[in-house]
Amino acid sequence: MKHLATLVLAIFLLSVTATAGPQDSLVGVSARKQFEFRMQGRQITRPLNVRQAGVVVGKNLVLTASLGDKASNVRIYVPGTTNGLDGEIVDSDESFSLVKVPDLKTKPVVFTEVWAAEPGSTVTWHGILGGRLGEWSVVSKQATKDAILDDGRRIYSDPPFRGPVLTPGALVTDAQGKAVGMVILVQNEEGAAGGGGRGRRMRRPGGGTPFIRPVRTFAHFLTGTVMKRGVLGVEGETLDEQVAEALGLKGRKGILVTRVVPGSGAAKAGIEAQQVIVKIAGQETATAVAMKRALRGQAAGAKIAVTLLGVGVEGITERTVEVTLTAPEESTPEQRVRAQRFGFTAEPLTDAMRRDRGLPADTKGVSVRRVAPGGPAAIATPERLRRGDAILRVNETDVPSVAKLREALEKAKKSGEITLFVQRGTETRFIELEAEAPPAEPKK
Amino acid sequence: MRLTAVFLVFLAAPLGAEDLQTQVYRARDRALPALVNVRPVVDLFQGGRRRRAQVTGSGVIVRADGLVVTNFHVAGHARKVYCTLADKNRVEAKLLGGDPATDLAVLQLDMKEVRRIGAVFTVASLGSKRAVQVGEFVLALGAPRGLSTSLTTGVVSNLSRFLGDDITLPSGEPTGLYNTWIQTDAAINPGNSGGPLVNLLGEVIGINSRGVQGGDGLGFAIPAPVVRYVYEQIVANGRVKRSWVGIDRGLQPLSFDAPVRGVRLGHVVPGSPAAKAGLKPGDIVTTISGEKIDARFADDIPSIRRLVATSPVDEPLAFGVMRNGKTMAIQVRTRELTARKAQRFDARRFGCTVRDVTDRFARTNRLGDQRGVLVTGVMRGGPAAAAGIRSGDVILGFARTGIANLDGFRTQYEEAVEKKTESVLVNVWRNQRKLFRVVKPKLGALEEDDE
Repeated sequence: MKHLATLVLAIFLLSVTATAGPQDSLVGVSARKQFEFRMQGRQITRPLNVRQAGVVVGKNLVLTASLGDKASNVRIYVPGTTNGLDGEIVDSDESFSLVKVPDLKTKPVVFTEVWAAEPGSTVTWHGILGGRLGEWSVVSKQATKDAILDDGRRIYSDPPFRGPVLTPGALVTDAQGKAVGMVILVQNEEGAAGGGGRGRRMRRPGGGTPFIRPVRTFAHFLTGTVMKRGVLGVEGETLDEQVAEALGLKGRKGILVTRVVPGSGAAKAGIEAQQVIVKIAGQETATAVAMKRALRGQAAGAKIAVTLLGVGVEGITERTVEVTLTAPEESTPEQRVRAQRFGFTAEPLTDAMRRDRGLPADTKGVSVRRVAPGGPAAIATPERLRRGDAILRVNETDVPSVAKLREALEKAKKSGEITLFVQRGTETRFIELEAEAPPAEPKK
Repeated sequence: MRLTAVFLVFLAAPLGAEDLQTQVYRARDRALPALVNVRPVVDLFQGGRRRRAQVTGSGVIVRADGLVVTNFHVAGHARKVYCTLADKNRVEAKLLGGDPATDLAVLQLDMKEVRRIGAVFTVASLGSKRAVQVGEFVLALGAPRGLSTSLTTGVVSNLSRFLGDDITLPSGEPTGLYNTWIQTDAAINPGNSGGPLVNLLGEVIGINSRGVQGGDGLGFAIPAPVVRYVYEQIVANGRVKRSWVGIDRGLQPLSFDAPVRGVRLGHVVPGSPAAKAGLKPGDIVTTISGEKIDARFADDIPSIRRLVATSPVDEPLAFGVMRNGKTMAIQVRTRELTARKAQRFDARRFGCTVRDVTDRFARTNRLGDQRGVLVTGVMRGGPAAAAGIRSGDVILGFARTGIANLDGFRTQYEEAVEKKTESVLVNVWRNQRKLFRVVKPKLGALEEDDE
C-alpha cells in the first residue's frame, strides 16, 4: 500500500515536470559520511548514512553537496532504477564533493554562470525522491514570491521548501530553465541543518530553507561544460570628484581604471590605467554597482561596447572600443594534483599568479592551491607550506607542471617524506613534509 | 636526605667567602660610576610629521678617553647627544658611528668639557674572562622610563636567545641577523636601552636592548663579544664592515636525522658572489673557512651569518659543500655589505611622513617589483588626510610618473612645491590594489618647526 502511494505520488510529480531539461541529469547519492563536530571541547567523529541528490556534471562525474573527505560506501542511483552504482570521491571542499562513477550513462548537465539574477526573480530546484521505498525519481519545485536574495555567495529562498524530497545536492534552474546553481544545505526553522534523508534516524521528511550556491562557486569542479561569465579585465574605482578635477574631467562620472589585467580583453582593446569607463553596452557606469549590472548576464567571448574618457595632449577624448570578454582564470579538477597524504593541493602556475604574488617572471613550478588545516603541509618544518607558494622541486626532481608533480609524488610515495623547494615572493626555501598515514577503513 | 641537603648548604655558605649581598654591592660599585644617562635629540616621525624631541636611554663608558656604548635605536639617528654621568655632570657627546644590524652605537664624550668641569667617571670592563652561565646573578643598570641610575637584578635566563629573522628597529632598519641575545629576568624597561648588564664581578656581559611588551621578566641584552667586535670596528672605521656573499637570508637548519651536519642554502641571491661561484639552493654547507657548521635550530643561524660577515672583505672565502651526496670545495669572493640608515622624510606640505619601501615590506605585501615610498604617518587634518591617504599606503607615483625610492619622491615633491601645484594626483597601493588620490599641498608659509 505504502509503495503504491509513493509510486502514485512519484508519477504525479514526474508528470508535473515531464519536460526535458537539466533535471534529467539528476541522480540519487547515498554514502556513509563521517560527521565531525565538537562536543564538550572534544572533537567527535560519527559515521552517519546520508542520502541526497547529485548532478552528473561530466563523463562519469557526479557533483553533490559535500560528503567530506572521509565518506565511504558512496553509491549513485539513476532515476528509474533501484540498484546503485559504486562511486569514489575524487575531490571535496567544504560545500561540494565530486564523485567518480564508472559506467554512468547519464548525459551531463551544462551549467551557465551567465545568469541575470536579480532579487525577486524566480528559480526552480530539482531534488530527488526515493531510496528505501522504491525507484528514485526527480521532483521539481518552484520558488515563487521574492525568491532570490543574492549576497554574491549564496542564495536564500523563500518560502521554505517542504516535502519528502532529498534536497542537498539538488539542482537549481533559472526562469529560462538553465542550470545555475546547487543546493548545499537545507536549514529548518530552528536553524539546524535538516532536510534530506538521514537514513533510519530521520523519520520525518526534510524541509526548510535551501541554501543555494551559484555556479561560479563550484565552477572549478566542472569540466568544459560551463558557460563562463565574462569579465573585462580591469580593476577600477568610482571616479572621485577631486580626482576627476585633477585629471581635467571635472563633473564627469564613471569608473577610473586603476589597473588592466595583461592579456585580458580590455588590454587587447587598448584600455589603459587612468582612463575612465563611462558607458558599457550603452548603459552609463557612474558607480561600481552600475558597471556590475551592465556586465551581468554576459558570457565569456561576448563582444561589448565600452566608452572611455581619456585625457591626452589633444585634450579630453571620448571613444568607444569593442572588448571581447574573457573568463576569469581558474584551473579545472583535472589540472590539479591533490597530495592527500601530504595535505595540500596544487594547480598550474599562471602568469597572473606570478605577477600577483611577486614571483620572478621565469618561475617554473606549480602553485599551492590549498593547504589542509592541521595536515602535514600545515605543520611542516622548518615552516609551513602556504597557499600561493610555488613548488619548484620535489626532492631532487624539478616540477614545472602538475604532471611532473604527480610523477614526483608517485616516486616519493614509499619514503613517506618529501622535501619541497618552494618560491615565496622573491625568495626560495626548502620545506620538509612527513606523510600522514592513510585513514583507516571504517568497519563495515 | 633533606637533612643532608640543608647541612650542605649550611656548610657551603661560609666557604663561599662573601654572601650575595656583598657581591652585589661590589659589582654595583664597580659598574655604576661607568653608567651614562644618554639623552639624544632625535627626529621623531610621529603623527605624520617630524618633531624634534629629546629621548632617554642609557650607555656605558668602556674606554678612558670617553667612549660610550649605547643602542643604535637610542642614539643612531641623533643630531645631538647629551650625557649625564654618574657624578651628575652633564657632558655633550658626538656620535662616532652606529650599527643597526646589531642595534649598537658608539659615542665620544667631549673630553675637553669633562676636564673643564672636572667630571669623574670610571671605565667598565667590557666582557668577562669567565664564561657567562645560565643562572648567573646579573645586575641591569640604566634609566628605565627616564628614572635615572636604577639598578635591577636577576639571573641569566638563556645565553643564545634567537628572536627571529624579521625584526626591525623603530626607524625601519632590519636587526638581529648576526647575533643572538642574552635573556635575563632582571627588569628591562624602555630607557634601560643601551645600559650594561653586569655580572657579580662588575664586568659588562651585555648591553640591554630589548624587552617584550607585556612580558614579565623577559629582557634581552646583546652579548659582550658582539659589542666588543662592533665597538672596535666603529672606532677603527666609523662603521662595521661586513662581508656579503648572498646566502644570508636563505640559511635553513637541517633536520635531526639528516646524514650530514651543516646548514642548507634555501635561497641564493641571483647574481651574488655565491651564485657566481656556483653555490646553489639545496647545497649543504658543511664548513666555512675550515670551521665546521652545524645548524639544527633557527638559533644556530645568526652565528653562521656572523662567520661570513666577519671574514675579510674582497677575499676568497672557502665553503665546504655537500651536493647530491658529493663533497666539494667552493671559493666565494666576498663583497662588502652595503647597508644604510633608513631615511625618513617629512612631506610637510602634504601632511605625511614617508620612508623607503624596504625589501622586506615589498616581500610581505606582495609588491613584486613595484617600489615607491611607504606612508608612515598622516597628520590629522592635513592635505594627505583630506585626500584619504592612510598610514601604511604605498605611494607608487605622481600622476603618470612612477617613483623608485625616497629620492624620487623628494624630487617630485619638491618640484610640485616649487611650481605651487594646486593638486597632485597620487597613485597609491593599498591591499593589493591601485588607487588614485588627489593631494592639495599646503601652499604658503608653514608654521615654524618646534626645534
